Amino acid sequence: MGARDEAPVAQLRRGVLEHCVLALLEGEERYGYDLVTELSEAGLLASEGTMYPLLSRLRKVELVETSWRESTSGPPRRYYSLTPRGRDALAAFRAAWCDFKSSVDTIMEGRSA
Amino acid sequence: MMTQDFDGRGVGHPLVREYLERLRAESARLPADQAHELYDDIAEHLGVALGADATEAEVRERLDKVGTPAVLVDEAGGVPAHGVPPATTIKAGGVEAAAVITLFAAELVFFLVPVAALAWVAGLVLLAVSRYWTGREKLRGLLALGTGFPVALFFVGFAFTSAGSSASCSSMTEVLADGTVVDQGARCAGTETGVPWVTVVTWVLTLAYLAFQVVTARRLLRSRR
Repeated sequence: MGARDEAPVAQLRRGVLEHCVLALLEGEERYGYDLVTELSEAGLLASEGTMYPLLSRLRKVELVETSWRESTSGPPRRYYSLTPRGRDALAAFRAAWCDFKSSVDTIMEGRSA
Repeated sequence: MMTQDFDGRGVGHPLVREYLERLRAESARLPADQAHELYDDIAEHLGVALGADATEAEVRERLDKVGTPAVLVDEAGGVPAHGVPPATTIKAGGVEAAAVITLFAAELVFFLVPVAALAWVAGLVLLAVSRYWTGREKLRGLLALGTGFPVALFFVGFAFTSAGSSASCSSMTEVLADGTVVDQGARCAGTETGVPWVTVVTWVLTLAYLAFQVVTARRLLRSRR
């Protein structure tokens, strides 16, 4: 895949990444490294390190919050969890995503038929 | 999902140390608190990801996955060397800019009390409703900028009171029963001789306060992301 072909995927990834993080935090609080690894394995992260500035921004706008937990194998770890505002943002995105996905699918399937 | 143990030894690899040094240098483009946070996050990530016995190939592969320091700092909103922020980092900040401007405006036109009071209240509301500043940044804004208008009013009131009292000192005389005229102004002489150092202290405190306001405003405007 050439660089020009990758650009739309990179843009899509950038557009949904924030809410994928919120979705991963929906059920449980997570350690930053676990979030990075899971998203990286899912092919949603171009660079693992860029996740940390994103987490920092999410914390700043109060969509996620953090707490420090002692670790048995090293220094304390920062865990991330959803705030009520993050939960609302995720619910709103889910609704919008369903409509968006459905619209794109309809157009794509229509063109390829 | 299994998380590898973080024993911190993974970050001792020469390649990792060199990478973290480059990250520290690149982070100069970020506010200090953000730079520290990014550095700590990445160092911890590498410490967890790399075991103590990671080979050079594994270290190189991991560093490639993490991304170059320049990319990470750009993503964190670092101002490029030529001084123009990357387009992706420019986000809404109108409320924050308006908060800073109205609070400064209230301080500048404090003598127009009704107008200044309105601007001050508007500034405080904008400060409180900002979605981009953290609670700590809002508190910093309140202490540095929110106090501007009341402080200006207080000092002007204080100055008027002082001027009034010194004026009355110099003009007050008292005629005693035996007809002697006593100049009460002489009793205020001590106050007048004390003025120079009080003035110096007042000026130093005023300048320090103004510097605190300007530095805080700059930091708040830089972090409105």
